[in-house]
Amino acid sequence: MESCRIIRRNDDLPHQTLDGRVVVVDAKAGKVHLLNGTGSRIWTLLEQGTSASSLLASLRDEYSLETEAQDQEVRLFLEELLALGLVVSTED
Amino acid sequence: MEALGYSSLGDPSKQNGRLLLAIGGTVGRLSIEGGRSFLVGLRRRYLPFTIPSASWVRSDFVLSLHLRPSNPGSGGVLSQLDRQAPQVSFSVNGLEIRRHDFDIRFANTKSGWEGEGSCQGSHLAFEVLLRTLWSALLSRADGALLHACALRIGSGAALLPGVSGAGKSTLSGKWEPQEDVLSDELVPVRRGADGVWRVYSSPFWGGLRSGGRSLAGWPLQKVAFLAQADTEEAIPLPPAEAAARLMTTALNCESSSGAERTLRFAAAVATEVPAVELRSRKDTPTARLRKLLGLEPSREHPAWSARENISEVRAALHRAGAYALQVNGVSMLPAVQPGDTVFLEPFANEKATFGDIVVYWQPAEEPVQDKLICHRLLSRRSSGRVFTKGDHAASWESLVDGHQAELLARVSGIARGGVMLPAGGWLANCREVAFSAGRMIWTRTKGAAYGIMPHYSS
Repeated sequence: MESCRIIRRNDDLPHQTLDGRVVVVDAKAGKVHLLNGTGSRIWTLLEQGTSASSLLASLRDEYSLETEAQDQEVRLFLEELLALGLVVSTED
Repeated sequence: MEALGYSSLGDPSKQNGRLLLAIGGTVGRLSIEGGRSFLVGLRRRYLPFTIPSASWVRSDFVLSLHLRPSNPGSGGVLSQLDRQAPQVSFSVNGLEIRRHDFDIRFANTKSGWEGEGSCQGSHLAFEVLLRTLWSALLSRADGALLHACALRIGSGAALLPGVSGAGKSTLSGKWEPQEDVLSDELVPVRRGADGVWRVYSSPFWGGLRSGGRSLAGWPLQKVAFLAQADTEEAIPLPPAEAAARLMTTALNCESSSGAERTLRFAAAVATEVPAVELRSRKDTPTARLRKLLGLEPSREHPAWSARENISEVRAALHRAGAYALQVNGVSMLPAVQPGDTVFLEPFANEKATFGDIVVYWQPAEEPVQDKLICHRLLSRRSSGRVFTKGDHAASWESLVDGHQAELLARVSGIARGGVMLPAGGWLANCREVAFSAGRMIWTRTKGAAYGIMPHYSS
């Protein structure tokens, strides 16, 4: 994922937060997504557009991410959200 | 089934039928043109959810429907077209629902939704139309139509959502007693004016079978998602998990615009009603499942409106062929006194005789005002027009069975103070009617002489 791309969540998708977890509905695809605690936090951080590197920086502080492997997990999660259409990306 | 006023679908000289249906608390007035035998079939199929179609009964929508010829059947096998999902589109002031076999358009007016359209004269087309219509309207009334089975347990209900193959039909097929299965396929769920979530029986059953108990609602006490397992346990689910699972079971034909509304509904139910994953084996007995659900059986029922109560009485009469009620009015004095118990059997045209005491459902504008009237039958015509009179009443009543009222039962016996009263016959009935007419004439004459009219309570 290129660090200069701005990522934000897809505001066309209805969502609700319940006991710290986010439920996102993609009616066109006929899918319901339930994000875990970390995924829900990422969803919240993506309310306003942000770059992948800024997002990683925020998560490193909050969750004390130290290793490259943990960074890679976050990047892969973002790629998955993009592939599912839950987030959208634009050029900075 | 002729016992329950089936003949009254409007003027028999015209091919028009009226049907007033209450499903999930939403009342729809349908005026259906064409195909009398089809209309009789509809009335039979949706009977537990019908209300006498009096014009003063408030409805949430009015629909004029023209029946068009249906395609020849394909031997019971659903065609590709039959599996097609309906198209639903809402605008600010309108609603359109269409499929290859029906096409209706509604306008949102000051007095509610008013619509017209056409539908093929087949039970499949009509059923899909009703499912789609009620799903669309319930979603705008703080409710939803869910793929689920619902079980009455005690004075409340358990909702067991699940898509096809989840085990709903297997569970509901073995549930005891069967009368406590409110539906095994599609269940209306709705928040009432008192804030309580309720589930309702529905006419929408698996395999397009007809069924259903009554139009009454039951407080929702638990949501249980079925899971086949080697264990028997109920695992509590957090609200987010429950809401996500509920979303997958909502019947929502509208794509995006309805999804947000349905998600709010699912989130609210998941937050306010305890949810579990109910793990069981195929052969787990009903008693064990009931225990896992943690809901105690009892024969009490919730606080219902008069309409819901009367609908349940009708359902009980159907099931058991008998019912008993305690009377609290004075209109049948001296034959029936306040506190007497009247024993009922379903009303049957062929058994009714002049002077029989009958019980009929008199609907009002609002459900809390509906009445169950116990009066004497004077005459019943083939047009469905019925004349009744309370022995102590100042005048007789004229009504059309199935329209202004619905004949439910004939009184087969009366008990007072725990003692059965001697049963009268045709002669006794004639005597009572004669005395009643005499009292009416005497009272009116006396009243006129003194310049007053007596007041009779119903």
